[in-house]
Amino acid sequence: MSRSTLLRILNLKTYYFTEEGIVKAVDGVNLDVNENDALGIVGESGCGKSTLGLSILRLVPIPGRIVSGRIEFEGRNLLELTSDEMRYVRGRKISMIFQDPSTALNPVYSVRSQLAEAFQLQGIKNKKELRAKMVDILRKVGISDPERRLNQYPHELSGGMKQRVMIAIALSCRPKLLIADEPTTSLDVTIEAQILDLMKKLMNDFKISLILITHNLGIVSELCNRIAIMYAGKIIEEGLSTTIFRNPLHPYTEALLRAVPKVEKPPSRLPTIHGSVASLLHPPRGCRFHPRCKFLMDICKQKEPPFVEVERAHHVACWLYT
Amino acid sequence: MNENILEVRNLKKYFPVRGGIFLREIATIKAVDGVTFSMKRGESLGLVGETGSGKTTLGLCILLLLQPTSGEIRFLGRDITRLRGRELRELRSKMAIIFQDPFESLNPRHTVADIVGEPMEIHNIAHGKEKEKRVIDLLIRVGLEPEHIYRYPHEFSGGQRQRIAIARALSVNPELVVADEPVAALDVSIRAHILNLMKDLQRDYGLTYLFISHDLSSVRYMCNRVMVMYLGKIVEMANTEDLFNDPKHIYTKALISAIPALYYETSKKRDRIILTGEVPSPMNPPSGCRFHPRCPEARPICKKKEPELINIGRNHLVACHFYN
Repeated sequence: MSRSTLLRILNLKTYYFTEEGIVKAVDGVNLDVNENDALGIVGESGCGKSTLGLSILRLVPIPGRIVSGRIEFEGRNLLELTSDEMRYVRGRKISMIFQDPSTALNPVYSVRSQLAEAFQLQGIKNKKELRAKMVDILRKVGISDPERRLNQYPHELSGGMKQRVMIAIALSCRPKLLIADEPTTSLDVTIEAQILDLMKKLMNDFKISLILITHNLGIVSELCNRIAIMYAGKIIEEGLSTTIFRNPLHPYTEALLRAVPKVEKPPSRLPTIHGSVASLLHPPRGCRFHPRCKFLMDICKQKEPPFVEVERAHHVACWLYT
Repeated sequence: MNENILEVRNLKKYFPVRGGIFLREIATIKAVDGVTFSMKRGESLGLVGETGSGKTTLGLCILLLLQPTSGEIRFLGRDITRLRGRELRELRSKMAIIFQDPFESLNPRHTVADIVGEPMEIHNIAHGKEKEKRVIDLLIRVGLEPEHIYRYPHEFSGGQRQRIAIARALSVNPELVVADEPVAALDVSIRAHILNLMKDLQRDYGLTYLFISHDLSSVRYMCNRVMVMYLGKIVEMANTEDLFNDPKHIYTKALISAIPALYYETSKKRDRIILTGEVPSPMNPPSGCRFHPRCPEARPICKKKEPELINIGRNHLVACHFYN
């Protein structure tokens, strides 16, 4: 593992064992996150991006299970840790924020007790110190009048405020890595802009690496330096944001970028991708995108394309480039 | 065909907030507070605003699914505000609504035939075999298969369900369709399909759309005119091109600049306006201009006097003291 690699995912497979069959939500994912990276994982609903995020923290809900693979973090395989060791990682090293802040916060506890818990786990017992730390972190995430907010309950806060509290809790342990799963999807645009601005600043100040899971390509281009595109449980393209936005290689990436209505120059008709997202229960043979692809070749139906480096730090899984 | 299909004058919708032991009215939420606009036949007007701006309430009031508190709604030249009973039902066949969430808006116990066919029964448009034939025609028109007719909503994906909802809306041959966030619950690649379909249907059936959305890029793609709402009031209204290229109200400017943009569409660095604070409660809106607590350029007058919606040329309307 090179010095700057913080997290390395090797051939990770997370399956859900349902009554209808095995849902291969994450099916052989390889991914590196470097220190100070902001990596965007982009895909449509049901592509396995959220499961990938949960797998890193080993929080995959039943009937899901990590079937095989390695997740190396600071030189250790997270999948081999005991549950106590894993709790330590979750508390101190890797934090997560979820899409809907109103369900992620506990409605019967005040902001104070939910935030205090995170600090107490780090061994801060002194009441004065605890209070100072809490006020300080709330101020850092842009909450006005933090002393009053401490006594409030989640229902007294607006959506944007709740998400700020979530970010404060996530950052309270000074993690190395933050996983944010659709952090702004439930917020209004002007509030979304505030939260993205805040996250950008905090990543910088706290020197945290970020994995941002989203379906919104615009947010990724604002926040991330690297992008991985997921389709039906697999990463199909990965590279620097600038490269991918200028020169998308995989037909899916290209179509996805064109399907977003542009604000500056809208086309007279939006280009579309025909068909619907591949089922994870019965994924198509060969390349999983082949039933929807306009460059379909014979080989695409039979063999899965390898993930190859096309140019420096730009990988793609498509038979067009092998 | 340039007549106004809809005229709304000084429309208000207040909701009482009750409390105390006798459930007295202790406050009012002014969800829509004096809105005036008109729509031409065949146009699509975008209605943009954040949560709590009153855009959905306005949409429901226009269809009389909510009784307005005061004001006047003229549809096809006649005042419909106080219609009741049979007259109201007749009117309903001229207007339709498409809701945001196709998982909630379709009855899970009804087949597609029932969902799309029921409005035809109610409005006496078609019965029996003829109804079935019309349902199948509509399904084909919105991109579904004839054999889908006896399936239930849970057998369809989100995009397909929204197609069913669109077919239901069209079943009564409406003239005005209110679409309340029709693509917000859908994935990007599906969203494009639905927007294109709605555009095609508008052209083929000569529909008039009120397209309610918080997603400015969809509005830009769909609409020829846009209206921006903030806390129950219209703050700006203009042709789509004018509004996006030359927004006047600071709130509109902030909304447009807040859209996360893709790298390759912006050659120049944009001046981002990030608003502080959040939308205040419509229960006690700020005095004067309702936007003044968040406005980076607020002046003393903004606190005291409410700006009027004025025309500054090319039918560009704005409510801001800077343009008075």
